[in-house]
Amino acid sequence: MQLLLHRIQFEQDETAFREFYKENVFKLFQFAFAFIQNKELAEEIVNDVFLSLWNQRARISDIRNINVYLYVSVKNTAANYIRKNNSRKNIDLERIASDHFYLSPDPEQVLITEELKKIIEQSINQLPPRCKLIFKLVKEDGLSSSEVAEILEISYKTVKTQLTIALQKLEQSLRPSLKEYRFRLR
Amino acid sequence: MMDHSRILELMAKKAGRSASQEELRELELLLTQFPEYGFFAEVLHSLKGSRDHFERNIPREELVDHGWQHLSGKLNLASGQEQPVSLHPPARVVRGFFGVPARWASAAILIALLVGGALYFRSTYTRSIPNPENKVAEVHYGKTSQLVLPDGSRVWLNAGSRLVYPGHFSPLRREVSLEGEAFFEVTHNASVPFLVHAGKLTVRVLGTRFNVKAYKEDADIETTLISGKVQVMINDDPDKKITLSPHEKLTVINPPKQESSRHYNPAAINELKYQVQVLPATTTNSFTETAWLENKLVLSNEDFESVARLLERKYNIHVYFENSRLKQERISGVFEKENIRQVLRILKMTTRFDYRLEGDNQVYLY
Repeated sequence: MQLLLHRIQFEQDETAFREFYKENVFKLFQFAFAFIQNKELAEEIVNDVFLSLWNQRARISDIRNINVYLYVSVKNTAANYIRKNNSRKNIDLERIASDHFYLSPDPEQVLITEELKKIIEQSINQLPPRCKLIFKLVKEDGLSSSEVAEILEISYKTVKTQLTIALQKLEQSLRPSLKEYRFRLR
Repeated sequence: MMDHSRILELMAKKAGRSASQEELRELELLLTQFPEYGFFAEVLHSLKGSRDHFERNIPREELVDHGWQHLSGKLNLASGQEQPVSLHPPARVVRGFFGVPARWASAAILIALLVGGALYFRSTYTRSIPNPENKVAEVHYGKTSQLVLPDGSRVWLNAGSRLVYPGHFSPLRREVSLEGEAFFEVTHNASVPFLVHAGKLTVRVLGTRFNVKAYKEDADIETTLISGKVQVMINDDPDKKITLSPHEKLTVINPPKQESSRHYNPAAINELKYQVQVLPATTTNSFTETAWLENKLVLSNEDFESVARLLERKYNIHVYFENSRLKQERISGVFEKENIRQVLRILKMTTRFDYRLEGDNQVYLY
């Protein structure tokens, strides 16, 4: 990633930019869709952010955290759009779309029955939108709690609490099976 | 089952990369006491998003390609816009968003750029996207070239190399980016470090003479220091800094680019291998690494495949191995004024192979 950014900044390398785009666009698109719920608009918003990054490429190395930068840009751009075209004033994290986030145990990494897999997926899907978004940003996109806090403009403590809640819900749904696994461990 | 909230809290902290060392140890201890949570941790660890699809029937690839198609058309148009930029993400202000006025504005910019762009292309020799801030020096095969940077530093570029440097250096650091091979004589300025970005490496110097060899197609990246002091950083691993003393050479193995860099693998960084060698003492103070500056080609026990690449650059030819076993042959020798036919004839004396020349620049080895 660092190498790509170097090439973009110092060599105006469009191929590097394309690679950078392909690596990052999907998660940002999913993020934008949570706020905007329209595929075409979400794409426009994300592309607008990438375009502005390209225009500012000479100063890329001054960006403290490129990941945070991208997510915050997407969120702010989406918020601008909503404010302009909607009666709703601000993004309400409790009312975002989160059905398009799928998280599921990777059967290649953990020995698990199809049934248990379904239970886990279902339990994640039932998380409240904000909780699910935070869980997704940490587990799937690999952001840290403090990065998530900065991006969503909520406190670090809230992120931590929401993550713990997600784990509690997951654990509750798994508890009957956990006992079984405990038995199997012996 | 005991109160498990502590385990979950610690797991949440670990997932968010905010757990301290003590907390990680505590979690480990708890997991040995309650092994059933080990399975839970495993499940948690294995969770992944279905990155292949967006909503059941839209493949990720399609979405990404579609988006890039839309974006790529706008890149060139916008690149000349020298808007005052802030590095803060776009603020939440209301602005013309894909509205009609914005479209007019971009049409105006397009016209200005067509005119400006044409002038720009005539005045520089860059093939990249116009950016008034950066200059590109490119040397084709069969040639070498010399240039002076804005700070007075001198650079010799070897055949098939490309140097990108700014028209003005920032007061904070002098940065250039290199593909290929160059020898640098950097003017001393202790307060403004000079940085060379080359492939996976960044070489940081204060004032010194050194050679950097970082051709994309080569297996290794080399940095050789003649005088002064340089620090080499491996970009993927910022903590790894190697300081070179005069007459030392650093070789970093340049792993072939992985197709799916999407699957960024931190373990791969540790596999990046490097070694520091002291150059053999010479009386004349001329080293193999910098022989190209005197238009010499010095080969000391190198494999034929690498030699072929050196010849390609120096003589602007293409070398094809019809017999791939030849690639491993070891070759030594010094060439200076010889033309490519003479070089091949001399090589034939020590290595068993034959060649044929086609056109001006195709060499077949068999």
